[in-house]
Amino acid sequence: MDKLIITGGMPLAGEIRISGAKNAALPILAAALLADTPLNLGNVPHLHDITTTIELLGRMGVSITIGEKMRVEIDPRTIQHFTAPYELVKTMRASILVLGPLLARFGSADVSLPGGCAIGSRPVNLHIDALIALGADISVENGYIKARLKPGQRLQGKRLVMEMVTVTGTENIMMAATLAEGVTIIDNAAREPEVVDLANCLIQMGAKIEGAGTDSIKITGVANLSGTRYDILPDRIETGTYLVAAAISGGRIKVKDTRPDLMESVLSKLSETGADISMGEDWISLDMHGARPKAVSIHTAPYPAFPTDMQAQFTALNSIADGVATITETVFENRFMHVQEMQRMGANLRLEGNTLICTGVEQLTAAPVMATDLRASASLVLAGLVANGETVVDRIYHIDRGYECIEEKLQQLGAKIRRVPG
Amino acid sequence: MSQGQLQKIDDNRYGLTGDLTFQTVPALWKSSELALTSAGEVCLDLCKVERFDSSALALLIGWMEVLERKQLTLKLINVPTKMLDIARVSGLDTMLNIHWQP
Repeated sequence: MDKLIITGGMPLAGEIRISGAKNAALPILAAALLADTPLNLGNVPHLHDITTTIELLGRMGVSITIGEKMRVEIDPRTIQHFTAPYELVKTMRASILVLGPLLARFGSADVSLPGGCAIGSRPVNLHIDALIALGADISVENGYIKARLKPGQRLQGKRLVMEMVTVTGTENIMMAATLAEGVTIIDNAAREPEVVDLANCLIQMGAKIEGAGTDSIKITGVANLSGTRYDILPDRIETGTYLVAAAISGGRIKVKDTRPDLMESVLSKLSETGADISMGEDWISLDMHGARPKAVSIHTAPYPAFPTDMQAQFTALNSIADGVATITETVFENRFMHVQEMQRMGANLRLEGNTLICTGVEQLTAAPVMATDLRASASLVLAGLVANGETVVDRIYHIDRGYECIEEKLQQLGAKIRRVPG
Repeated sequence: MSQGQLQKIDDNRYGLTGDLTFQTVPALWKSSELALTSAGEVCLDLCKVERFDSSALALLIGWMEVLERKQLTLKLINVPTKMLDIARVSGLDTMLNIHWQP
């Protein structure tokens, strides 16, 4: 397995471009199944999960062409199979996102149950229950969700109250409802920007959706959707990760092609660390003026609150910050697996229930560490940027799922980082 | 749009020229399936490829399979960087025998 080797101690400086958001691209790729003509997407990030989704669609018989400028064209008219097999779903839980579109468009979907997840319980029963409420006939057999509509039958719109806020649940149901008969209302809907991006793409495809970005989304079903040309939203988590990299290293960077308006909670916390932040419509610059960051307390929750996907990165920052702070994780119950690895590097972190007490140390020391999930792996890279010596991060296939060319972008900012193939 | 073409340079070496896209690859595949032959390894130079999309990779993989049946290997040289990007996002970069990347 590939490893990343990082020599710490360089304050980051320079400019980088932010990639398209993985968590926006994945449901939009699935949304292509709803259309009766090709969907052409730009700003698609080059990530392992995107490759997996392209493979998943390809195995169904969907035609996919990737152009020189990395625009992806998906033509669902050649589809032959309506199955998402276990060997793909087990590597990427987001494969569940094809369930709603396949069922709504073709009346049939066989999607493998994803199995367990390292960071916590993420049940798909919420997706299943909602589709049953819309009129689907669903059974679970041999590890597969088998969803069917009778020939000629469409899903029927209904008011649904989601038991808990779920981003992929909101997305799956929203996609399915676009072709349902009548009106569907999703209450307690996820408000994340990626849900809004999906809604915007669906609207461009001919869907009737109101309220995306609020906790109540209204979808009026239409007879069909058409392909369109759409560019994926910039990745706010990648943006936040590189800004934390600058803050933790006492550096000064500018990130371009991003959306500062989607990052209020993260930028607010970065300001509390003492970072000097300025921004324009599509860029953010952060300057620590060489100073050590101050520790900041974090409480994760669904958008627009502080994102769980940035928790591990701020844990890394607090590990060398001046002061003591707490990090409380309310979204995923097992999202502290990076803590023990950081403790190997000398971090003073104490976990009590779902709250981490961080006492900043002056210096971390390099160590061989192991990544356990996507954001934990990013946090170990950040810790490596400031540790004394050479940190080796193993199992970086996790990081390749969510960060496009991470070592190249960090090298552009002056980091001493290299990849060693396994 | 210029039609993609396969040209023989010497006994073991071929060059690809023109556009390798969804529109041009099917015809090139049809005309070239039996053209690739060699005493040993076949070297394919891509320095004169103009426009391309992921169909180009499908063509290269198709040729790889044809040559494998003849117990020959296909080596690619001067592969455009953007084509490598497409190969990477398609999960095909490790399948291709690439040398001398520009």
